[in-house]
Amino acid sequence: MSPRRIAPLPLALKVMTILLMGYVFWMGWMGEVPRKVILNESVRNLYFHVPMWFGMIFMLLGAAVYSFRYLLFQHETDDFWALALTQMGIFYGVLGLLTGMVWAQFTWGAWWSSDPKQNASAIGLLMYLAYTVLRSSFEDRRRQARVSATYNILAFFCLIPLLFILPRLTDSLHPGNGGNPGFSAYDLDGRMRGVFYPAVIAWTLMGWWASNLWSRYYLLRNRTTF
Amino acid sequence: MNAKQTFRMMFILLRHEWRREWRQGQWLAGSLLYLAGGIFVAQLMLRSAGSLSWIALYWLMMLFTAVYVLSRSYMGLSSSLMMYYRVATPGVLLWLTKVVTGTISLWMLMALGSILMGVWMGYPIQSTGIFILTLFLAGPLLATVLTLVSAMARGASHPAQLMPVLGFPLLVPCLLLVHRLSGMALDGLEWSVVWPYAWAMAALLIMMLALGALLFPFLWKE
Repeated sequence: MSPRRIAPLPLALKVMTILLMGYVFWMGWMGEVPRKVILNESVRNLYFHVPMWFGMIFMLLGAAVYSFRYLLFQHETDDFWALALTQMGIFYGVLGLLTGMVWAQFTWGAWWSSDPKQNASAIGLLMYLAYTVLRSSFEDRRRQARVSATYNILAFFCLIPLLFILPRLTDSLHPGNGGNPGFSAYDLDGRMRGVFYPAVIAWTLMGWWASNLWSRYYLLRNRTTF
Repeated sequence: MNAKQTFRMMFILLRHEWRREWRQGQWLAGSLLYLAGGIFVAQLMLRSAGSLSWIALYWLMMLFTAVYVLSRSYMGLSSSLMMYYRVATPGVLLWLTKVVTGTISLWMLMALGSILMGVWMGYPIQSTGIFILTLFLAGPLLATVLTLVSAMARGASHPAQLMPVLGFPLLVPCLLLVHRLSGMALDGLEWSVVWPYAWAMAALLIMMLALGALLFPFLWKE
């Protein structure tokens, strides 16, 4: 018997998300940042652009785990979790791409410079958009859930070399690649780190919360009997 | 089943596959025509290609042909034949058979494609050895991913449309490596530069095979 409901996020985590988010936004706009040539104030984007990628990876990992759980137990709740997490992952990916493009325009001088990481993330998004296409092309509900779960796992394993291994083989404009200094070089006194790590946690929790709501919405919408 | 029985079963499946293909006949001939026609059109429009566009064109043609060829691996099967397979064989073995046949046909098509392009548009590759290594590794990679995609697309409302939509993005990581290696073949680089990339591709292939063996039984269930 598959579980009939998805538990909401614990209240403590919700409070933590809101507090951390408040801290990140306050420090992001008002906090002190190192003054650097070219980067200038755009360095604040570190708190918004980079956590998008972390959040995306965590949510897509979560989607792959829930997909695997679906294959093992065939619980409809796991399928909706995977769907919601994938959609939030795509959303974060798009936001990460947009914030990155704005940052690139004002530091590298172009909206799109075919940087390996830019290309890789665009392809990764394409992969997961294909997931939504795949989902919509099945009539049978159980078959749809099973096939899309397999695709989701496969896509996640294709994403790993795409995002982490292949960009390292070619020169990139991103910090820490192709002879560029890593980001820690810009953050001598560790001030930014104190905001960056909470930002990663806050954005990930936020995405998780949103996916939780989405998956519960999907569950309700697909319920035939109350 | 012990190892000997497994190999025997696989051999029988391969023979079965080959006979089915031999009797129907149109499948391999169709894909040969598809490839030759595509390259001929490119030749009519481009006359001759620079070395970079040669490589790009070659892999583009190979990508399309591979999607075309391997979409047949499950979609073409009638439901009664599927039923028979489901009773008679373990799913993973059937998938491996499809990967092997797919790999062999892709190798044939890749060889033919490079000969045709070499004749019609010139042959810019400086190190044929590296190029052959690339083809040798690319065949099973494309076959592994695309047989899985084909198994996923079977039973969807528009399987033929789904193949490229799912297959292209999934194949991009593999194709980037393949493109890198064939670029090295183009320039005729030292083998010591080539090996790390070849190992990376082999690792990717092993990962895909393991993933396929894990996931295929779930796709196979009805």
